[in-house]
Amino acid sequence: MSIDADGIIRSITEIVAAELGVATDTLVPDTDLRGIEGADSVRLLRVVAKVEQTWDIELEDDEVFGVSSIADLSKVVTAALQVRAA
Amino acid sequence: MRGLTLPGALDAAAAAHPDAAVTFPSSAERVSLADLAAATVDLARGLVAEGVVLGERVGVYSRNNADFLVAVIGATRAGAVACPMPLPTSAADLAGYASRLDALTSAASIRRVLVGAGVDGVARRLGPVLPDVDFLGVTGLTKTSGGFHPGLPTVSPSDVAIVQFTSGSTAVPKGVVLTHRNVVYGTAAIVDGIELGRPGDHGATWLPLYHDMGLFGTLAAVLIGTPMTVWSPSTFIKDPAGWLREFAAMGCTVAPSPNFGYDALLAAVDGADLTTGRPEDLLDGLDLSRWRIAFNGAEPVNPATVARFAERFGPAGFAPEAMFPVYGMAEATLAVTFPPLGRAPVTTWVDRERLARDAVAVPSDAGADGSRGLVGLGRPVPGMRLRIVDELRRPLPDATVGEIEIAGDAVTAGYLTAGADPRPLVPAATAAGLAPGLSPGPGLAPVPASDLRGSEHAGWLATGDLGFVLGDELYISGRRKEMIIIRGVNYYPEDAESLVRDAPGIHRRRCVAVADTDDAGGEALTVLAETTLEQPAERVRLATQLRTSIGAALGLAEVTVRLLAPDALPRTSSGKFRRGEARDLARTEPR
Repeated sequence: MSIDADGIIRSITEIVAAELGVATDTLVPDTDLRGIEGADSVRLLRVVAKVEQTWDIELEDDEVFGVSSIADLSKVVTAALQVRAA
Repeated sequence: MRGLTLPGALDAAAAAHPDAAVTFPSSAERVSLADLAAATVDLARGLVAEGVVLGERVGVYSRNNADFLVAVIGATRAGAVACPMPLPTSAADLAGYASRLDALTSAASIRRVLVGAGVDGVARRLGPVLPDVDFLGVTGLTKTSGGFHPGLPTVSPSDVAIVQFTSGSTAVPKGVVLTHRNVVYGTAAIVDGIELGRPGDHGATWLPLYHDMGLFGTLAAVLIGTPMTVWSPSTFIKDPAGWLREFAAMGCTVAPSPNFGYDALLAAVDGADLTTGRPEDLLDGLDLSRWRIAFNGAEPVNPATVARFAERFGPAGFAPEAMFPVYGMAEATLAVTFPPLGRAPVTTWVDRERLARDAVAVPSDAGADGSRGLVGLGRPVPGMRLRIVDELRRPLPDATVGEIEIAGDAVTAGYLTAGADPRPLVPAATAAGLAPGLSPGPGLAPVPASDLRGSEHAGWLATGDLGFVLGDELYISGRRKEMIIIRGVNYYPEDAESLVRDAPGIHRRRCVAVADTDDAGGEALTVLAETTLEQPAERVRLATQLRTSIGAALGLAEVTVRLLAPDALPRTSSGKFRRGEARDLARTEPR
């Protein structure tokens, strides 16, 4: 199964928008997640939880620590999907 | 004496209840008290063999798993001082997090950090940032002691056991110095205050063990041999309802949370969080009738949350009197006031303006405009004394707002001195077997907390919190210290100022951050900064930049940035900012 990187970014953007209560068109892949109004550690963890549910993967704390943008998060997801596919 | 130290109390509990266990579902561990006690002995031997000296402060860096408890108690058994260190949160800013840890390790002169299972990866990444610190795996140290059995030092109740950091602040890492006596009395007060250890009691927590409410809540149960279950914080945050089901299914009876945790549970069952797509029947089959104590503390208690929680979870068996709003802090080895057992929460309504303007609590109509509802926090726990004082520290009558002061065996002697001499003189190995109560060495004498406030009132600790007593019940109305508490974490305005001051666009480094509480009791930080920028687009960009950098570095979302014209910030003749007036400015200026 090939991994659709654009699709992952689009889905993560939607998750971030829904969890943080902002419009999707205010977000670009490089948006600093921690700079979004209302983005506290609890909400960001819920973003991670939703991402895990969506792709049925489990992300280690080590992997999400240091993640600052949608693009970063999509890389982590892609890597996890590759591990699973292998 | 044996029962008056942390390891001594564990040994006593393990002897009386060897099979009582601490369970960690997130790491699939179950450790009996007998095994826990044995592991702390092995770790202590490993530490002594490693050259740890009496009174040395040792960092504890671990998830909510068995290693955390082994490290804290094992370090104290070796005569060292355990210093729990915060773990990073998701999407944490690496640089900001590292500088907070750097400030903390420097303040406590930590040279060795015990690393628990599962965080080695993060610890490795921190290595280069904290070059003076040795990271030692708990498992490795526990095993290497095999064969070599160095004597362990005699630990006395007056020795320092734990330095509990109450904020991850870079400017003012605040380490509360707690002796073995503090810890033993503090956990005993929690036990007595809720009669923990009744037949069938089972403690539970998802709070981080590096947080005071997580650590002392857990120790309270462990040290009397009551079964305890400890989840990882992310288990709760990611799926509050799922956690609640597991909690109920295990028959747990006691669990603490700051107010936001109860809001999260309400949101989960109300489907306010539509994205989770969970069905409406979350409460189906859920039996909360065994939950007898739901501690609500570590941040302001919201009367609306308390009322809604009872209403929403009542049908699932949650008893109104189980909600237990409390007042506590690391300085008190946690508990200060508890409500009477078996009483439902009490909300008292007072005239908001009289409270703010005249510092008096005048009863008013519930829910009326101009009324402020405050949740009663009960009375001092056994062994704790409390008084409300004016600015000259004279006791005030009931219904009058003043600063809360506390005293008792569980109250800290003071805070860690920043940059204190790290090197105690006596290596633990050579001191083993020597007289107890041996001087812990220079640098460990805490600054008496009363001295920090320039006070002569020995024995009373000024909490920085404002409140009043009414009908034998404590109410908190605000805070005197410059600090806000969000989700149980303390944040200081100085940290925001130091991040903003040198940003391009700020006029002559002029900025002031003020902590404030809105009418609903919500807390936030407002940063007022002068700028010469006039273009609206440039100003918006600057404000956003500042908010992002504060948010990323401190992990704080509740920040408002207000840009002002040059010379708009009120200053004294000597050029110091007037904080009080700046706060008024923050309140009046349109958002």
